[in-house]
Amino acid sequence: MTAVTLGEATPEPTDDPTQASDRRQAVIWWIFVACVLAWLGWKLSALNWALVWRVSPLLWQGYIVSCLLTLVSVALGMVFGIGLAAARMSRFAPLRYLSMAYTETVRATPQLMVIFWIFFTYPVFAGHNMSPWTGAVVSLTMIASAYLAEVIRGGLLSVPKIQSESATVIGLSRSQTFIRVLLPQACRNMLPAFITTLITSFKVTSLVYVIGLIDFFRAASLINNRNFAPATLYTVVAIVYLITCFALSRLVGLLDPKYKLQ
Amino acid sequence: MMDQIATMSPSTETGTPIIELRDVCKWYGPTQVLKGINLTIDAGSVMVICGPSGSGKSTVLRCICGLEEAQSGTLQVMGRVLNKQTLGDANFRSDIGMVFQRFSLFPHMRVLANLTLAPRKVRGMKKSEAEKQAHAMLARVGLADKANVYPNELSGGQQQRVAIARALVMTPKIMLFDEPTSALDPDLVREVLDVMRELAKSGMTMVVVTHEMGFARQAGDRVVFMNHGEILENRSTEEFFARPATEPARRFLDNVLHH
Repeated sequence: MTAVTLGEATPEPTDDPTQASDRRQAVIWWIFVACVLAWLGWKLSALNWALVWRVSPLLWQGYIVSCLLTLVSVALGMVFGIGLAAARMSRFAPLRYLSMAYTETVRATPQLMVIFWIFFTYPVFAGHNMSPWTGAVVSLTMIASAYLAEVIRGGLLSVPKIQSESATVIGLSRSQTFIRVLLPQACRNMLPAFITTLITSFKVTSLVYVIGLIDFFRAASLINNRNFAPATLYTVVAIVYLITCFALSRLVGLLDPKYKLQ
Repeated sequence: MMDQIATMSPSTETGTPIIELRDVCKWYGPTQVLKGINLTIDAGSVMVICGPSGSGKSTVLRCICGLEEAQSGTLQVMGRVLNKQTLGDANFRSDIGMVFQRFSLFPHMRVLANLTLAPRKVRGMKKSEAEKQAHAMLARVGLADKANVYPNELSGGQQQRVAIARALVMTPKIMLFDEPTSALDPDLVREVLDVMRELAKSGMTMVVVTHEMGFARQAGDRVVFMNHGEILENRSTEEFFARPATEPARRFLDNVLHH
């Protein structure tokens, strides 16, 4: 009798053994995740959260600097990146080589070196110093534009040849074809690679401390020098970077336009 | 509908040569794909080019519309010799319409934008005027209700009809078709051929590369048969279908008609 009631109460009796084993695996997995989270929570609660609360305005300032630098350098880098990609696909050979030389040089150089080099060689050429902000924006833009140029070029190459051919036969000029037909489709194709570059750019902002700018990471280490709570502070840094980069990676879904390529 | 068709007809006098190819040769690397092509196409006529794949049919079309450059020989279209200068003239280029096999529509634009882009950017037409014309042209190819959809929401046959309409809004004097139905499911071929037949009746000069022999027989004035980069036959449609003069053409017809 009891067995029958129990049997009826079971939501969906499955005769598929794989489905049942899938469910068992899922349960085990979630129990494991819950245990890890509980253990992490217990350990994290031992950290100095009062300190985090106290210094949060400073951290916040640093975070804003990081975000601003990312936005500005990626926005400008996109503009220059389009120019570099167009130049690299130009019919005029010197333009092509110039773009290639720039892109390959920057990409083959450590980002830290680019930042140093811009900041410290600029006075040699210009005769006066550069503000850390300008230095950071210029060097990060240079880095972003080199990486984005390749991303954009990849996007452009992924557009089928027939698209530019049909633009040509209806009378569009080369620049009209580029702007109206190729670039919009390239942007769509390169979206995932673009997001990756955006995330990298955000992480690269942690290098600008070398020219005296206080970004998020630098803010945390300065606070640590004063209050010495490395476990706490760097855990917070890690969590914030994780959340930000994860949120950025989710942007793909939001930016994805509704038309499909055939 | 009728006067729309009348305005579509090319102004060039019917019967005079509108396309002339003289001794056109082309190589891709070491392979010669066109071996001295001589071809004259009269204004208002429909020429069908057929032949086995790799025979150079598409290359002829691509040379006429300037997508490929011939290494020797001369091409004259509407009285102008094709060269860098004439092909740089967007208005001249858009007088030659071209319909490709497939996937030539711009997927990021709605149908209406596909049709208004060139009239606005090349001809400098006002947006409202271009849209009015686009709607009329869509009605002509039987797709009046599809102005606001994206190309991927259309069937292959509908896409090809939009591609034809996109070429027609530039009021071309010549229409080139590069296997416009060969990538389509059999049940979608007819709607595209119907539009092309109607266009042929309106007096448009057409050069059509196709394997659709039914279309060639009905709408074609002349049939050109190509093989290995050469023109083997260039005869009136009746003559060609009555009995091809060369063995490769006979074999080709046999294969196409009784497959």
